[in-house]
Amino acid sequence: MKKIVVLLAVVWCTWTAQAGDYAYLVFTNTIGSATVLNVTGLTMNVEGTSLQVTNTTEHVSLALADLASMQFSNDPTAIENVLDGDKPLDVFTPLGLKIGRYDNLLQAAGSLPAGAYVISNGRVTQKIVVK
Amino acid sequence: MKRIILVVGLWLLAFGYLSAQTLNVQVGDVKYLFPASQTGVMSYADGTTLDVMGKVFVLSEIDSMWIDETAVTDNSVQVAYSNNKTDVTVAGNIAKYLTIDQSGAHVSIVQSEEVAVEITYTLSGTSADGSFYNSGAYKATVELNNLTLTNVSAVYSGAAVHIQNSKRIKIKPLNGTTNTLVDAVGGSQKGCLYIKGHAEFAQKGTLNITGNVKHGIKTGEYFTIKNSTVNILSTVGDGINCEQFFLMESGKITLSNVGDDGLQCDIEDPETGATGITADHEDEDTGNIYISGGTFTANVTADAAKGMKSEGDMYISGGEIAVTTSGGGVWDATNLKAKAASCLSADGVMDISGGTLTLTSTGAGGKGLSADSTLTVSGSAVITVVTSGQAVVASSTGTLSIISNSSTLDRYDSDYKCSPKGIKIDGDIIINGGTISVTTSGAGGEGIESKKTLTVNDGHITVNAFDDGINSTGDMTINGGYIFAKGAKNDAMDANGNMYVKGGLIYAIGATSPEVALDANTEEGKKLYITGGTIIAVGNLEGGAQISGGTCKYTTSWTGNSWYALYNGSDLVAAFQTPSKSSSGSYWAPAAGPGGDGGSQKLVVYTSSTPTLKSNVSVSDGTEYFGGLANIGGTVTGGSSVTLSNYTSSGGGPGNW
Repeated sequence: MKKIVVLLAVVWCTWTAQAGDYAYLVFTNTIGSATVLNVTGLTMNVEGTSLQVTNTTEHVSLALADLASMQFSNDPTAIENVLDGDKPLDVFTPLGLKIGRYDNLLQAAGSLPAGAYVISNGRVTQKIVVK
Repeated sequence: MKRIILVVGLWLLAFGYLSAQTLNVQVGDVKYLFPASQTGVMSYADGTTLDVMGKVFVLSEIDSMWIDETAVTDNSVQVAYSNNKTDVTVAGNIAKYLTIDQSGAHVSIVQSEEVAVEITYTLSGTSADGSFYNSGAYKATVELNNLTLTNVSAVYSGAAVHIQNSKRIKIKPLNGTTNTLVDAVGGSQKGCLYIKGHAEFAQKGTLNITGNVKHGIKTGEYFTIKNSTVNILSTVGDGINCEQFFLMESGKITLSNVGDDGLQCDIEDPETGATGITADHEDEDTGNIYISGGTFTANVTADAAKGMKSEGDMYISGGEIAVTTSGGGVWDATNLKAKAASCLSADGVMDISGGTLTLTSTGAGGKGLSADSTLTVSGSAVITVVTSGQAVVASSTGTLSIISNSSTLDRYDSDYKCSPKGIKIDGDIIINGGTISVTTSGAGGEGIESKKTLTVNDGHITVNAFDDGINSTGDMTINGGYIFAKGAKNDAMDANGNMYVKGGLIYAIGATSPEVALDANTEEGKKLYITGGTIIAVGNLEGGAQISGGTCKYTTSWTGNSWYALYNGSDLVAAFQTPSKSSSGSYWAPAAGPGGDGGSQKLVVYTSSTPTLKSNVSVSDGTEYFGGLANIGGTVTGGSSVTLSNYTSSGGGPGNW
């Protein structure tokens, strides 16, 4: 019985590890702003000059001319490629008003209401959108 | 516990697939599958393009993108036909290398020269007007998964499947599937299935081919097959036409209703070709055919067509080969030569060391085996040849006519006639083993003929021929083996050089005088030398024969269709059945069968000691030879002793050509 439990545990861990691959698709525009969407049920359609992106919970329209890239990610802030999310950072409004300093990106994302922000570690500055 | 592990394993496998996160990009009927784990940063540019793993999409051409759990196999392309539509699915890792065009169910996929991985194309579904065209410069695999494809419009090519790629192309009719290809009537394709490079057939599926313009399958380089079943249903040209070499190890090839040769293998480059056989056939360009297993069946009907033809050599070491030709002769106005059909034909040597060959030729001048160089038969080879056509001759202007009288043939130069010989070899014939059975029934139908020398060291040979049973232009040497030769209208065994009998067992039945049982070319100073072995001969031996190493006796008082027992001293050598006797014939029109002259034909026996004969014996047990006309190792009962006279060879002749 113990062997079965161990085996099932391994199976579960393996499955959850695989199923957990990339929870988000992150769109980055030409000025560095990121739009993060859960990949569950995500579809994208080009309509004229925009990219219509829909998942199971929301819909956004992104101007094609402003899009720079998109990338799968497991980080809801989707800026791990720009900033080290495990280190302290400062958060500003888009107008440059400092909101506060957080221990890491996850703490910031969990504390901030939805909206656009600018984050900085002192060397790199990046715009993010929290959904 | 094992069951639990199995269940868990399957569960793991299933969820492993389900968890494969994939970005789908749909462009028209083409879907690109990019594993999320491989995509990295996907770049947009100028609001007009999206670059995913190097594949640049024009945004306005993208119908949709979505993310799901579709499993992706790297390096794969699926082409699914459905009536006049085709859905193409491309693995993301190779998307950037492919340019895909479609027109209805006609698909063209061009591989860039940057491809450095083998791409597998899997074709499935049905279309009444579709095709698959693929070009590239790197080896590839084409899987056929219950594909039924008829090309009508010839959009990219008239072929149903056209692979314009000089590298190795694996063709896999997938296990258990049946696939059918028909090419476009109005095309200019070289084959219904055309492969510019070398084709390797594998897997246990079935592929049916109809070639409406030329060949059924055409490969620009070599062709190999294992396991697959290939049925050529009809063609205008050859059933299969390949170059470099052909190799069959297993599987099944059936060729029917072909307009020309069944299988033809040519040297690809006559200038630099003739590489000779290479290790593992690497870079080989010989025009050779190799068959070591499988089943090859061909039914060819065209005049002068060959069931299997090699511009190089032919090596058969196994397999089941059944070939029927029914076409007549043709006049080759270029080479000023009459030509006829042949079941197997090699421009080089022919080496048969195994396998079972059943060869039937019914057309005028049609042959069983023909080769420009040496024929060697050995091992476990079983060769059965039947020809039933008459001879075909050509006038000086190339007008063909059929000849049913052998003597008339002698008036024609060799380039102006084709005789229905069982085995005709321009080089030497060497028989070291195997079992050969030849039956001919038309004018000029020699059983086995060598244009050079013929040597039998071992094996079992049974010849029932209309003309000479066994003939050689040069010397004939019998060192061993079991030979039955009957020439219904000519000599049983005829050497136009010397004939040496040194061993073996010969049962030779010649036609009535002036034909003989064993003939050497005395007229040109050649001779029959008998120094060993055992001979049973109905008919004279060549005049002037030099006989030593044993004793030769004869009787003219023998009964047709009766069993006799031949002893060497007191040892039973063999029991044999005499032929039926026939009325005598004339020089130009020999009797209808051997053993003629109204009973005056000699029955000659030679053994290493003193031969004795018993007539009207009963035989049981033992082993049958020569199609039941002889028995060796059996038990003989009854019978009466036959009075034998010493055979004295008269000097010179007869024993005609």
